[in-house]
Parts: sequence; structure tokens; C-alpha cells
Amino acid sequence: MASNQIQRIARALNVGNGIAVSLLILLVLIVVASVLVPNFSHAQNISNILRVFSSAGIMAIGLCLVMLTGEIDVSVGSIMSLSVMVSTIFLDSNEIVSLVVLVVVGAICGLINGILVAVVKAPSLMITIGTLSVFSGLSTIVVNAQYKYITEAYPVILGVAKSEFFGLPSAFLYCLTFAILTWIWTNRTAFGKSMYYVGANKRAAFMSGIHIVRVKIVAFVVCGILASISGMMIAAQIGRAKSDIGAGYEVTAIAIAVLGGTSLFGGRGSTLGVLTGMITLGVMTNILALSRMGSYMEIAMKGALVIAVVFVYELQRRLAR
Amino acid sequence: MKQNTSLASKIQSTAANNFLWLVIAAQLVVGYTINPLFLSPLNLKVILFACTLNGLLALGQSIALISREIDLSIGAALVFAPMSAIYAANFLYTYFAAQPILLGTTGFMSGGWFLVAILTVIFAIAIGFTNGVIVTKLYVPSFIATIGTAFFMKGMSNVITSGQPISFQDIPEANFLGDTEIFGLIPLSAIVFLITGLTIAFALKNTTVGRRIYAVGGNRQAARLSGMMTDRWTIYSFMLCGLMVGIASVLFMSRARGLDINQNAPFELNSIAIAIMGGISISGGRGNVFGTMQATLIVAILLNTLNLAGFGSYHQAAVTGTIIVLLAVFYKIRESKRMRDLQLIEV
Repeated sequence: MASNQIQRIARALNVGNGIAVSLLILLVLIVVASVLVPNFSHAQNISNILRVFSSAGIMAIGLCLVMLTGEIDVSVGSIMSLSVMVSTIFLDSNEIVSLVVLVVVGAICGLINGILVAVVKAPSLMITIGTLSVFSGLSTIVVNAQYKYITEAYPVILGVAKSEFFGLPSAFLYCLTFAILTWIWTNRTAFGKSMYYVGANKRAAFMSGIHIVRVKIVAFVVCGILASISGMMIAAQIGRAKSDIGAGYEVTAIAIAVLGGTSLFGGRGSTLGVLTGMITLGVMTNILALSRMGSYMEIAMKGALVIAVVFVYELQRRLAR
Repeated sequence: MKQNTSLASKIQSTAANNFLWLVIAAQLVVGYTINPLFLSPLNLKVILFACTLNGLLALGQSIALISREIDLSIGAALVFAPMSAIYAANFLYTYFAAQPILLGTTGFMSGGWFLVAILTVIFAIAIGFTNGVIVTKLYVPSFIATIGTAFFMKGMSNVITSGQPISFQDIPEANFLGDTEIFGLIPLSAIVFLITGLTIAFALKNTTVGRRIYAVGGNRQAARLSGMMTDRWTIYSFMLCGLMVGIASVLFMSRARGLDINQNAPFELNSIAIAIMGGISISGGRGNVFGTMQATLIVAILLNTLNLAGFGSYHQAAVTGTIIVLLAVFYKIRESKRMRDLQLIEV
């Protein structure tokens, strides 16, 4: 009887492809934070959380699309470095051109990944580990390991990346926009929905006439574009573009996507979930930072918390069966 | 005519089976043409030294991959295990012999190398056990679970040591494993790597544990339905991976005459790359560790050649990445051909 009820609750939490669970986890964290941490609910603090993690959130949205199709892209950090570094070459001549170059380079990197994964059908983890080295090597080679400072001399980029609307950082608004747009795309259009189908059951998708190669390539290209955009946001925020700017960001992006309920095995999760995952990671980091444990203890606790949250997801999925 | 085709196909299949040896042979030729010093004893010794650490980690990663898991925590475990071993040994010495071996804040060790080495291996296995339990009993996919434990270990090793490097300069016996060269040519650590690799290859093929790991990795559902305790064998594979990390970190400490907490080299990605190059399938249950050992040699020779040819580390990253992609494509095309021969439709 009791197990029956647990199962019913767990099934009720299936709403929205993991969004319910991610919101629940976020809610618990926020309650814990506002009780235990004195300055947590301060408006400036919330705005800081959103500002810092939104760029990684944009990247995680793209990664989520790739993960929905059952693949993974660990090269997002390197795509970010490469596209930012290539675009800085054009920064002094024309800012608009450099932004176009940024997106084009991101798209080309995504296209390379997508073609190798979808057409050759090689495992995406292998391919993207390879392209991770290639892109990060190239990003240093194209600029000879030079920095580029992003100062007041580039008003367009600063205006795009650092402005605030209605007290909200622009990065968060972009993240929100991308999340909503991709959510509509993946849940309301035929092509977008096929991403779920390909990830959930590739063979069934193939048999029902879905063009798997095209779906996967599009997912990788969008992922590359979003990674490049988030790269420029981060570069503008820290005021400097260096060729290792994206190093390690793939782990953050994967963590955000997974905390938002995206399954590593494909076909499960949603981009709105990624948005909550982004805030979850932000709140987690913020709690640890405000509780003054020191940055290394913070890293350690973050590792433990990520495992705990993923455990909650898996528990819910198992109980709902 | 028929004889001819069968001979041709025999040559072809031999070449396909010994593909990695052909690559190594080609590399030796290319290396010698680029720089004749490539085949000098000193350079060969350098290559062998470069093999051991990455090779042992790749062996561990291979075992994890064969059981259809992945271990992204080996880089963190490589420093966390010896670090905790040093502190545990220090505690034991202080408690039982009333004589601390870790000298205050200087980070110098005054003895206890053997205890440290043994404890390192034990702790590394324990880390593998923890990973295995988190993956199997808490249902966390190994990709995320090991990233989590890696963060935990990275953070904790900095918290415990405050980033202080630990030195074994004052212990003469500590350098034995890492610095001894047989006939002044073959490093002892390379021999350790070779023996470990052969033992693992034998164990995976001929013991129950090994065969179960392959079975669990190949098809978990089928393994469970035929009565195997899949969780247990998965945990064993993580523990074996931990054993490899433990041996690697003992050699690493011995070679470096100390332990630096802030290792930033991408050990995980290197080990995955080497394992995959050696033909270990990322979807589990396929490949053998001989391939991994050959691939270790390939990567070491490749990086050495690039060095001799005057490339910097950024170019090396790009070239290594390209080779990983090419090999992945090569293996996939070979597998696709096999599936076409079996008339399986590949989606």
C-alpha cells in the first residue's frame, strides 16, 4: 500500500519530462539557503547568481539538445575557445563582423562534430574528445597564444553581453529566451520532437522514417552556435579573451544539463529543465560560497551535491516505473 | 588464381589484426627520418618512461570501459590516494611510534615509504570501490558519478594539504621504483607497466572476474538474466581500475620524488584516448588490453616525434586530437563493414 503511494507520487513527478523534479530540488535548495544563509535572498545576490551562470546555461541548452538525441558533446568548451579567439581577430576592424564570425565558427565546429558522429556513426564521446584537443590546440595557434582585452572600445559587444534590463542581467534574458525558443522547437514542431524520438529509440525512429542523420547534425550545429555565443558572453564579462577561456566549461555545462534532468542516455529532459538546472547549480555554488568554507571545500561539496541530486532523479525514475 | 586471392586476403587479415604494430613500425621509420637521434638509446628510454604513467592509467580506464562504465576520476585519484596514504601513514607513525614522518609545514617526509606505497594502492582500490558503489547502488551514471568524486577528491586534497607539495627527497629508497634503469637502458617502471599489463590481459581472459567483466559490459541485461551479480562485477572492475591508478601513483611519486597536489594534466582524457586507440569499444564488452599497451607506445612515440620535429604543445594537442578522430572513424568503418557482412541494418 505504502509502496503504491510512493509510486503514485513518483509518477506525478514525471510531469514535463523532469521539470517537476528539477523545480522540486531547486525549491528545497532555495528554502535551505534562505533559512541557513543570511544574505542569500538579497536581490543583488540573486542577480549575481543569474549573471555568473547564465553563460554556462546557454551552453548547456545546446548540450541538452545533443544529449536529447542520445549523443554527448564534450568539445563545447573548446568550440567556445576557438570561436571566441577567431572572432577576436576581426574585433578591431568591425564588431558586427566579428560577431558573425563567432557564430559561423561555432556552427562549423558543430557541423564537423555532427557529420563525424551522424554520418560515420562513430561514438560521440570518442569523436568529441578528439575534436576537443583539435579545437583547443587551434584556438591557441590562430592567435599565437595572445590575449585580447575586451574594453570600452567595443561598445556593441559590451552592450550585448553586459547590459541590464529591468534589473536582470542580459545574459540571463538570453538564456531564458533560448530556453523558451528551444523548448517550443523541441515540443511543438515535428522536427524538434524527432530529437526526443531519436534519443529514446533510434531504431524505432529510423523505422518510422525520421532522418536521423539530419536531426543529429542540426543538434550538434545548434550546440556549437550556442557554445560560441556563451563564449563571447563570458569573454565580455571577464573583460579578456584568452585561448583557454573555455577549458573546463564542458564539465559545468554537463553538470547543468544533468542537474536539469537531462538524461545521459538520451530522449529525456527538456531545455526549460536546463534553465532550472542552471539556477540549481548557481544556488548550490552560492550557498557554499556564502557559508565560507573556502573555495576548495566548495569544489569538494559541489561534487558530492551533484552526485546527490542525480541520485534523486534516478530514484524518482525508478520508483515511477 | 584462387591461391592468390586467399593469400591476398590472408595478408589483408594479418595486416588488419596487427594494425597497431604496423602503425608503430611506420612511426619508427617516420621518427628516424625526421631526426636520426630518435632511435638513440637515450631517446628510447625517454619514450619508455613516458609510457608508464599514461599506460597504467589507460589500462585502468580500459577495464572500466570494458565493463561499459567510464572512470573520469582517475586524474584526481592519482593524487588523492597517495595524499591520504601519506597522512594516514603519518598518523600511524605518530600514534604507534610517537615519531611523525611528515615534517611539520615543510612537506618533507622522513621515512615510511613502504607503508605509504602500500597504503596508496589500498586507498586507490577503496576509491574504485566507492565509485563502483555509487554507480551501482545509487544508480548514478558513471559519467556523472566519477566527475562528482573527482571534484570531491580534488577539493579535499587541497583542503587537507593546503596545496603544500610533499617531498621524498630525504628517503633514498623512495626513488628505487621510478629511477632504476636495467642495464642503464630499460626503466624499471616500464617493466612494471609491462608485467601489470600482461597480468591484466591474462586475468581478463582466463579468470572468472575477467570473463564476468566482459559479459557485464557486453550485455548487462543478458548477464543479469543468466544469473550474474552484475553490480558486484561492475564494482570489481572499478576496483581493478583503482588498482591500476594505485600502481601508477606509486611509480609517479617515486619518479617525481614527491607529490604535487595540483596536477592539471588531462589524465582522464588521455587515458580514454589511449584506450580507444587500442581498440577498446566505448559501448562495452569488446577489445583487449594488448591493444591498449600498443596504443600507449603509439601515443608516446607520437608525442616524442612531434617534440623532436619542433612542435609546441598546442600543435601536439591538435595533432593528437586529429589522430584520435581518425582512429575513431577507422574503427567505426571497420565495424560497419562487419555489420554489413552480417547483413545487419545499422541505424
